Amino acid sequence: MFSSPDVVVIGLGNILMEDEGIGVHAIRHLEEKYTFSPEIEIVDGGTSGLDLLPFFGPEKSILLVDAVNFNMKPGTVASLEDDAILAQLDPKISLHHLGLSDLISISELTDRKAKKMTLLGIQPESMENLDLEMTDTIKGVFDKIIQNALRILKEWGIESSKR
Amino acid sequence: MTKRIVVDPVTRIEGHLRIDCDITDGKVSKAWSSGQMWRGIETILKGRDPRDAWVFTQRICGVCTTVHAIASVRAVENALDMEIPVNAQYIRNMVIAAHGIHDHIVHFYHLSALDWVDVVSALSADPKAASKLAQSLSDHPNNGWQEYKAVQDKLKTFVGSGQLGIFANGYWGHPAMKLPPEVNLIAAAHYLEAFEVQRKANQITSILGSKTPHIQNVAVGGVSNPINPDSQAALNMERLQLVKDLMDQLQSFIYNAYIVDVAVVASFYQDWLGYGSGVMDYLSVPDFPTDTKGTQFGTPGGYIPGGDVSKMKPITSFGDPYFRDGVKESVKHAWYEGDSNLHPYKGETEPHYTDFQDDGKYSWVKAPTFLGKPAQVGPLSNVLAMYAAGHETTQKVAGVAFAKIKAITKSKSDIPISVLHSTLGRHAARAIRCAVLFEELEKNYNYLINNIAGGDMTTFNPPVFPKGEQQGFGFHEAPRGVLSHWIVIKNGKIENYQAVVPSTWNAAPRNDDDAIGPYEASLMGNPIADEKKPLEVLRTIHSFDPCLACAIHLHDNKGKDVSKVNVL
Repeated sequence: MFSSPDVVVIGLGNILMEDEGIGVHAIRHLEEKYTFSPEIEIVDGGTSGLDLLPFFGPEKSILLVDAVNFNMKPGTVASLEDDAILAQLDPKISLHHLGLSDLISISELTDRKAKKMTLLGIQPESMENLDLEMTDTIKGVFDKIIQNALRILKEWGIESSKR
Repeated sequence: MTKRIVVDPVTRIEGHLRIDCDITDGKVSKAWSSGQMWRGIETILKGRDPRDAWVFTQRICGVCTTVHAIASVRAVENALDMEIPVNAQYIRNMVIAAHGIHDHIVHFYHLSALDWVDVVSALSADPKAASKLAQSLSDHPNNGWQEYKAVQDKLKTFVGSGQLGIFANGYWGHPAMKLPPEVNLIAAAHYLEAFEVQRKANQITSILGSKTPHIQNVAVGGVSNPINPDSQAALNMERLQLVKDLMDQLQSFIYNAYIVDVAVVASFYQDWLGYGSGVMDYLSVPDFPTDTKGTQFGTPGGYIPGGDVSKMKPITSFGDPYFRDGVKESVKHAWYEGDSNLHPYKGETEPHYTDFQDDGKYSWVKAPTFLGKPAQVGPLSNVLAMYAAGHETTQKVAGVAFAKIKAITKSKSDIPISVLHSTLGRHAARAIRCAVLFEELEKNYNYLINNIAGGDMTTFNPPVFPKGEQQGFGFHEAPRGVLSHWIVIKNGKIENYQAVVPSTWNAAPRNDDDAIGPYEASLMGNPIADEKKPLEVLRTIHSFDPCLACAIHLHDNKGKDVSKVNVL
């Protein structure tokens, strides 16, 4: 039960705060609507940091889905790859908690750096309010996010089919 | 002359906290603690099914997921006056213990150690001398000089590649850093090892809780893990054996690294056993229930007024009215409507933001009180209560830690328990509590195995919601201290919900009587060597393990250079 798949999709965010939850909403959708071959691991990462370290490792390809402030138009979907993720993201250790960039640094320091890593980011419109629903802008690009996630997985040799 | 310094945000904590201090003659003369985030989870729960509340409360914070699930189901069970199967208690207890061990270790090594340990200094240590020193301190297996050399090489490569990210904001070279290079190297080695250790503790949570970071196995009425020693789909012997194997790997690190390292830090920074006490009315609650009703507990808790352990009044059951009737929350100095001071059942969460007003409202955190006074919560409060109650492991481990400090400092007299009322005392208490948690993990594992062997596989009693109104509360001695959830149920739906979280107690602003909160009080009199680098403020605040509900975690694209961003 503990040999786990090498491809991991991690959704990050807080589903209580509108568009903050986009990453988690997206991976839940993937989990509910699709099957994957070979099998992949789908992780609801919430807003945790260090708890995600076990999913990293030199044999892993990791797709992260999350709200990212690219300073672009709300609803913009964009990706960052490998070292560019760390280079582009603000080290969050100084703000909220041991965030994604810290996690990536720590994975390197503990010899758990992933073989391949892509951050699929979405520019949120609003995450100010306590609301389980995302904004219409983000709902409008939801399918685009899913299709891009499936495309990246396909590039990694993962076939998906609708349930 | 008085000068104001503002630390905003306080780094290496969970959440967003601002601390203001007035400095007079090099010492803190006035302090304000201000939570900079609004947490209004309560509003999202109104009208929902009480059985689902834990799923949402688990999302309040990215770090304290498990604890909010536990407190929530306990609150609903209390409202319905339920009993839950002992197997469910044991499984929950193991999840709580494993989570707590993980959390305490991460707090000391990854969030606080850099206040005391200078990683850059470790680069100039002599690995052989470090090994010799480490071997004189404990029997930890990874104490060979080759191991220390390897760690040093790794750090050199890491620092050399310009990746200081995770060590950023460490005040290396600060005059208040006192550890010799060899001690810094030992601590840095354990900093790295702690990543693996916390992962193992987490894996236990994940096996029993079905998933991490958000456990899936709790339910109002018990746990949803079916127990079947022979089934692949259930909690079986194979999984339980794996839990046992992981458990055994935690012990050496807790006893031979964590407790020893804290004692070493305390020995080199003895001054800090004298600063930072603050509010000495301590509140903790009993936990690790071993009966169906929650009247028998593995770890005691209670209220200690004025730091006098002989006056400890124990809290004795999940329904104890002494706790229930003692709690209130004031919004006089917090950014909510009005100046009410209400019991949590009546609690209101209507935001009303003003500017930062020294004498008015200045924080999103409400000010909770116990018996009308601010109370300090956390491992220190819990350890003092356990010590007062004669809890054997607490007394034994505290003795070991104090003996270490005595030996390292070559002190002639015994180290008194009163040193715990301090900044480093909070770290020492957390390490002691970590050993207590390990013991609870082992004990509950054995209880579970024996109970299953006796043929009891029950893990769940279904809840029944009567018509009309019920109210209940659930408490939990979480890694950061007393957590309580309060629920009012009307015709099977949530009518009101309030969570009084540990950091609310400690980070509280002034209360209804304008009495200062525990963070604020703990800073009074702290020396500040360099106003531009107020390391001392961080040391004292970090010792509480602040966690201000990081509901938001958005990543920022730091550079203006977007050339590497592929717009899709």
